[in-house]
Amino acid sequence: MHGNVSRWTHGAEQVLGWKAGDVIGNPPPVPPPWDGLKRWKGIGPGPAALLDAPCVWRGADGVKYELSVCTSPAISAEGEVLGVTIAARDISARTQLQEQLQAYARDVRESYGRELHRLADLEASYHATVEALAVAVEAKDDTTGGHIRRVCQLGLLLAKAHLGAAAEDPQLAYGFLLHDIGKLAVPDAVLNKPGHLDADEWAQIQNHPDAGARILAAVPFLDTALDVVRHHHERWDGAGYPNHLRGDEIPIAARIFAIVDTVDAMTSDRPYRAGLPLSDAIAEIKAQSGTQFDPACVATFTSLPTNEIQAMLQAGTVL
Amino acid sequence: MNTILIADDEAALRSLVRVTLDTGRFTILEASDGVEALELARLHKPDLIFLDWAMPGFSGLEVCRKLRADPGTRDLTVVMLTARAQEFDRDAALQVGVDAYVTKPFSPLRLLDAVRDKLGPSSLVS
Repeated sequence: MHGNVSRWTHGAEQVLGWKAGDVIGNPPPVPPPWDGLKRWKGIGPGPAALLDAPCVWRGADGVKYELSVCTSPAISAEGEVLGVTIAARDISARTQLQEQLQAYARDVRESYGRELHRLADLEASYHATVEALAVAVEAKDDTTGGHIRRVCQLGLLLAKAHLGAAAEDPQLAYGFLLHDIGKLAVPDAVLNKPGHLDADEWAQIQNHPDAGARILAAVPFLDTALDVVRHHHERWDGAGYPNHLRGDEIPIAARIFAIVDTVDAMTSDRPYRAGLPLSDAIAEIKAQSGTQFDPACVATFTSLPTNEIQAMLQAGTVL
Repeated sequence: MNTILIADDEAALRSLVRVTLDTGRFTILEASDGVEALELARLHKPDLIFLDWAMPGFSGLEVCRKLRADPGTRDLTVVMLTARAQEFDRDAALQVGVDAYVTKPFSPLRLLDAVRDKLGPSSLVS
């Protein structure tokens, strides 16, 4: 073995371009992967020393070919390397396919990213729409200034403590913000009446959860948000309205909301009375645990840091 | 910057996973065998590890077992990415504590979901 080519197949002519007559008897027109060939001496007689080793050879036309190379030594009984068979396969097509696959992968990733971006945009516009509606409700009922904003924030604080990651569902915030939208269906004369309500007027007030749920029923992106709208006046003991649900029958978001709605109502100033201190409101919530409110939710609520509750109840908090 | 480790002995597969995920918003490390995977995991504490099962050195299963046994790497998120699709394979992987099990040929969306859940949607938004 002198390092010269002894055989040059038709396939080699096809792949690399050189004709057998020009190559045989001369050193290989392109250097084979000698690094791999050196290993033969170490391993002695045996199977191919190189299996599917990728390498790049330059053909007669100057073009680089990606080849997968298998080499096999012919070794005498004495261990002398007599010759080398090099089999090379053109894997350009495989490489192209791999690159094509990567192009698909890149496109999938980019489409996915765009989809996430659109989703975030959509969520943002849902939120803005809900907020606009909530502000409209607030404008009608002018005695409760900032109530919706406060109960939404406080409600989310309690929900996070009580439900953990599930509180991140935007439906919860939507429900809190829109809870009183049904008041749009209650005549102003009844809603803002300073004195005692007669039975008919009281029935109209009690109709606001159902009215709210009806108003919002056609909005496709609101689903469990309606739980709060419909059930925020239910009571744990079943004495609430509109459906007299009791205990766990009341959706959890509505049970959470009932507490913060009451706290805010008690601590807010009204034209006819000053708001109670937070400590009194908390004591009242505790007193109503198991009657008006879910005891588990009350326990979570009373475990919240008072200063955080107080901060949420400060008017002027930005939504 | 968040870090993702791709451990697979197939270079073509590693590169495909890399291209599927690489938005340039996190560092991507590659390991071509189980020993290297374990070293890189211990050194860099990646936020997310895609782990092949059949690798030289340690198998993905062994790598995961070792990660879970070490307080320093116990809480790393591991997604097994493997051609082994049998139910008992999946069970064995869950037993050693992989967080998710994705079979090859993999759905690129599953990998992207894993990244979104672990690193947040903003890491993938283009």
